[in-house]
Amino acid sequence: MFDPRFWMPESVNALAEGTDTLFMFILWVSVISMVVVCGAMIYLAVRYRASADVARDNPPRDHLGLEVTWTLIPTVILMVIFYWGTRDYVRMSIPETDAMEVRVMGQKWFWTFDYPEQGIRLQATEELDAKNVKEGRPVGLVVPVDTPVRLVGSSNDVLHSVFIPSFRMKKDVVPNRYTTTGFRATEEGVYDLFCTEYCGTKHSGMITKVTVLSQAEFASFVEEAQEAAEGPVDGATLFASSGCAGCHSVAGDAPAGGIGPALYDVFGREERLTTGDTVLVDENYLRESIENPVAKVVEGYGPVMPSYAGRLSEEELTALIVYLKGLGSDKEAPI
Amino acid sequence: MGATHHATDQPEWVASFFESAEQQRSAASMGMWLFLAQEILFFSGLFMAYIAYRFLYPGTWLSGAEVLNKWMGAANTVVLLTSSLTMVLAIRDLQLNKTASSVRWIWATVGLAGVFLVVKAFEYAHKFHMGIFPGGHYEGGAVEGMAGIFFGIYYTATGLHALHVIIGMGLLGWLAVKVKNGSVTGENDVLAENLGLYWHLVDLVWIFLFPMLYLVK
Amino acid sequence: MSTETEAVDAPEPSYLAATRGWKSWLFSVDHKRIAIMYLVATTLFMIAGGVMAGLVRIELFTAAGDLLDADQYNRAFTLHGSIMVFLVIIPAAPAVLGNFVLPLMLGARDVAFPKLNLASFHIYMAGAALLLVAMVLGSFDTGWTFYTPYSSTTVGPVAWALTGVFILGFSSILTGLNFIVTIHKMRPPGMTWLRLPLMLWSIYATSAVQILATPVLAITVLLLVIERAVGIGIFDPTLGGDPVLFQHFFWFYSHPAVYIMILPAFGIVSEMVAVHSQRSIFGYKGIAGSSLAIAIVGSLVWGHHMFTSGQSIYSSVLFSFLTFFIAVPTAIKVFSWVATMYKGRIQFTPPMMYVFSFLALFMIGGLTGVVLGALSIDVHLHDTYYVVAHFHYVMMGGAILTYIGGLHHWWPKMFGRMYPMRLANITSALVFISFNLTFLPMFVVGSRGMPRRYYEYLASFESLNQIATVGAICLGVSLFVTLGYLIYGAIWGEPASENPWNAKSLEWQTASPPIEHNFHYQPVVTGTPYDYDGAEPGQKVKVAEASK
Ligand code: HEA
Ligand code: HEA
Ligand code: HEC
Ligand code: CUA
Ligand SMILES: [Cu+2]
Repeated sequence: MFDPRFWMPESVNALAEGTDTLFMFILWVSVISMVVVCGAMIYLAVRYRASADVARDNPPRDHLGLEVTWTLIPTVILMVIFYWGTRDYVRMSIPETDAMEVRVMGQKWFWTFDYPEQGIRLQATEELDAKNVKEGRPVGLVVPVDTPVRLVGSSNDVLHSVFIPSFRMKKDVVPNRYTTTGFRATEEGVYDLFCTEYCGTKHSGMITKVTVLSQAEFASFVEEAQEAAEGPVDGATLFASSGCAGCHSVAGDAPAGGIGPALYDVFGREERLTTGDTVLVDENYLRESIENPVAKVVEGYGPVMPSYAGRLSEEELTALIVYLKGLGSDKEAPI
Repeated sequence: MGATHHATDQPEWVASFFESAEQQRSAASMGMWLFLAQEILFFSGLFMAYIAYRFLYPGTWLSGAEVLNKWMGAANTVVLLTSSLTMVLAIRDLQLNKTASSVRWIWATVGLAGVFLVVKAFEYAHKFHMGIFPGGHYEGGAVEGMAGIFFGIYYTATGLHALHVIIGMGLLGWLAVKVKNGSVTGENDVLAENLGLYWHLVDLVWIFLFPMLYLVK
Repeated sequence: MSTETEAVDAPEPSYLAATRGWKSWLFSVDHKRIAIMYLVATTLFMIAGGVMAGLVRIELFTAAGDLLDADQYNRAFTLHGSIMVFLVIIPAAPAVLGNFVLPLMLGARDVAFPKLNLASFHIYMAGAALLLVAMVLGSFDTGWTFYTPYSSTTVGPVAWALTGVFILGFSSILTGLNFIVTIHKMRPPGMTWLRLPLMLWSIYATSAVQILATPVLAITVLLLVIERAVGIGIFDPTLGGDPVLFQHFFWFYSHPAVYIMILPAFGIVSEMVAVHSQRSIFGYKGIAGSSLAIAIVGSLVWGHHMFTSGQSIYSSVLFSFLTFFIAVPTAIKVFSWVATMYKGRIQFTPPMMYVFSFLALFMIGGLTGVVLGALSIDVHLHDTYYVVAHFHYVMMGGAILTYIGGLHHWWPKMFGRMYPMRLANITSALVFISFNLTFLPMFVVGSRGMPRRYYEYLASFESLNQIATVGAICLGVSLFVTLGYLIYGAIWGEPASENPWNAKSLEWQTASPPIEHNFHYQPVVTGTPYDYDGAEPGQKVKVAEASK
């Protein structure tokens, strides 16, 4: 219990050293105050139990000296804690200059990581992560070791929060404004990344990994990613990486319900809308459904699908639509 | 209830659990003051929202204020101030036991409140006509930037205030009746005083809202 | 038999027997009957909230989401939190114990505005009814914090719930208003401010917070309702609204609200520790003053819930600084209570047991609050189970259990009967143990990184969660036992004397249960409510010559 590892995973963030020590310091303060207060309580309870005959003559009603002491001592301790915590917090909040920038975008219920300097985009959805693990590729947020990183967060719908326990780091991502924080990973490895701001149904599913690579590995990883970005965009991959699969099943025998309608055989089907009237699913409808989903909401579903307008390039859109059209007609097997 | 409960010389309008008329009166008015305190805090929430967004979108706030009709606002300010005056007169006459004229003054206050609402109604109607609706429904175009929010706050604040005016009219009407049938009198006038206080608060809130929304440059 | 019941020939019926029929209860303006009605209502809601907690805990027994699906789970913890906060802990101590003992301790015949008091209760029930409607209409999944923009966009009867909260707020405001006026205006001759029992000081501080903070909650939820209804855009980022503004509004109320929850508990402990140590309270002025200090400083620290929200660094630092100052007045109280036992004559009665358990549990809750107040650490711990554990220690362990202890203290006065003492002592120990079994593990999973509001979690957290679930079940059972013997005591228990604990404050100097108008005679106060050494005449109910 008095070993930080009992409480927290190994800390691998250079900016966060000090946090654990402070935690243990307060733990000790707490244990001591507990022992003092509860100890005194038990001792007095026994010593002055009703049955005991001990001297009880004129019990004090107050004692200035005593009261001042037990006002001042905590005050001092608390000021120490305040200074300590603030110092480390400021260090964490003002990321080092020349830090590598990564833009984090939270969206129900997956993460997108943009690397403006490298011009690459990584995405973290349940499906994609599984795929990457299977193929032995780095998962989730990928960063080089011993390199200061600045995270600039934003959200596409509701509040989310990036939480990396091993980095002692957490920051909400907020729609319509940017939040920044930073870290410098000191150990290669794979660490958990959680969403800690409640965001609805799949809040607890909005988790991925942080993969810390050696500088060299990272460089080659970036190159691969850049080439992949050059190559032709493939609808199926996009569907997985853009988080569509998080809400839409594409399996033929998908059960009804789910967060979003099953998209198997969606093309050409008659869709009843919440407004009551029906639409025929054609390219335009598909396009609208992606760029402005709330315009036509399918009956039996909520307007929860985020808009992808501006998030997908023209060719990506077409690729997706082609893929969606393909679904069902056995040209393309669902992933 | 116990034999010695209260001295028999209490007027019958003093409740059994009070020792004296004085105690009852001071309790009642302190209660009212606390109520007003919480009313002010209630509106202060809106003021805070207003200030926060004024900092975020100063441009919008300026051009928003432009759209509002200063003259109607000013007129309404005068109306409410006068109504506060008539209320004071009503209470004075009540204390001088001039019941009849007191009742008249109360109705005058209610009347002025009505005038205020009519003017407000015209303002609203005019804005709706211009397509100035709160938030997402805004289609006025006259205001650049986040007009939706500005008018969102405008409608909420003035709407809540108008609601207070309406409630006030009801209460004052009730008071007029009680004064007429003598259940509120010169010495038992705490109800009148409290409603007076309430009415001054309604006035005060408007005194804040008017410059905030219409004038501030 | 007391001097005063001899004084009147035909003893008056107690407030319980004075009149009959359900109407005589539902529309009674007697503060004692209103208190009992609140007692029944809050207890039922506490059970409801407990059932929700049960669902949550059982779901979390395994790492996978099995019992409930995600949406049901989200509704379960939202309901649990909302019920426990808005329907149970906020009204419980002030509206039940406050209502019952305030006029009695003060020496008044009733509160200043009995009709308003009844109205508060009806308003409370109306608010509860709206929450019920929301439940029936498929319930809401916003979390008790209603953060925007999630709360302004999610589908479901959120508006009903918010309106309910809005109405409950007014009930709480009116109660506070009523109590403050009562304490100011209804004091009998000689009841100077420094002779008020400490319970009344904390009720006074609580009421002040209720009046100052709750209106802001009212306007906040109202804005949110309007936002959902017509979309005024204040909290809607797509229209330029600022979601973080809502958090400021919400916590501006909800942090002070935590002191609405705990201050009455402080008062209850002050009374119980003095009475059951048979000794005058230590450091009266310190305890009374610190209540006010907490009420004031407590309304300036709301930002400590938003350290990671994207508020400016400067405000975070400022809020953290003020947060630590809250700990100081609290420390003063804790130490004074312990010191009160010195040279006392300590009775191991159930209320005293609850004092012991309070000191231990609240210390843990408070100290972990200090951990959370430290900026750098809160960044790691925010929205993890560490926070969940913290606030259960202070709310459940600190406030609710002390409230239950207070019920044990005033039960004989409320119903004129005793509950089985030994059973009560044993159960209080069981509650204490199972409580720690439930919530201690949460500190550990929390600091290890388990986020809150997760219905499925990493397998590595499973074993600790299973301990917590087992603990929760034991806790629930022990609390049901408690409820059981309290009810038994109220109906079939030994008749209790006027003053079973040999206490000195006024409420113990009238019949148990008290007569409808509390006292036959105007009390006179010539000393403190804690003079066990008989130094001064103390607080007595005078026998008027008139009746001789
Ligand atoms: C009864 C309710 C109650 C009480 C009394 C408190 C008391 C305190 N709380 Fe707590 N708190 C909550 C209810 C309460 N809290 C709730 C409900 C939440 C979460 C809401 C949500 O997100 O859902 C919360 C969350 C919360 C947070 C935000 C955590 C996060 O979300 O990231 C913080 C951070 O500063 C905090 C701090 C404190 C502090 C410093 C105190 C102090 O008042 C404690 C002071 C007491 C002591 C310190 C112990 C006695 C002192 C001594 C014996 C002296 C010796 C001590 C020293 C030398 C240090 N609380
Ligand atoms: C007063 C406040 C209160 C109380 C008492 C409790 C009591 C309990 N709480 Fe709760 N809890 C909250 C307030 C409270 N909680 C809040 C505000 C949240 C946050 C919600 C959110 O995130 O939005 C929360 C969240 C919360 C979570 C986290 C959910 C999540 O984040 O995913 C968990 C998980 O274990 C939990 C568990 C429990 C348990 C096991 C109890 C047990 O103590 C329950 C014990 C059983 C009972 C209380 C019922 C039996 C009672 C009686 C028989 C009546 C006895 C009465 C008399 C004797 C008069 N609570
Ligand atoms: C947060 C969950 C969510 C995500 C992520 C999501 N959708 Fe949807 N989607 C929905 C819901 C709910 C509906 C039904 C309501 C509506 O029509 O807006 C829907 C409707 C649709 C429709 C119309 C379906 C029909 O039967 O008419 C299409 C096509 C679609 N989505 C494609 C996509 C694509 C492509 C992506 C990814 C780029 C995506 N969705 C991502 C939730 C989601
Ligand atoms: Cu995203 Cu929680
Ligand atoms: Cu707080």
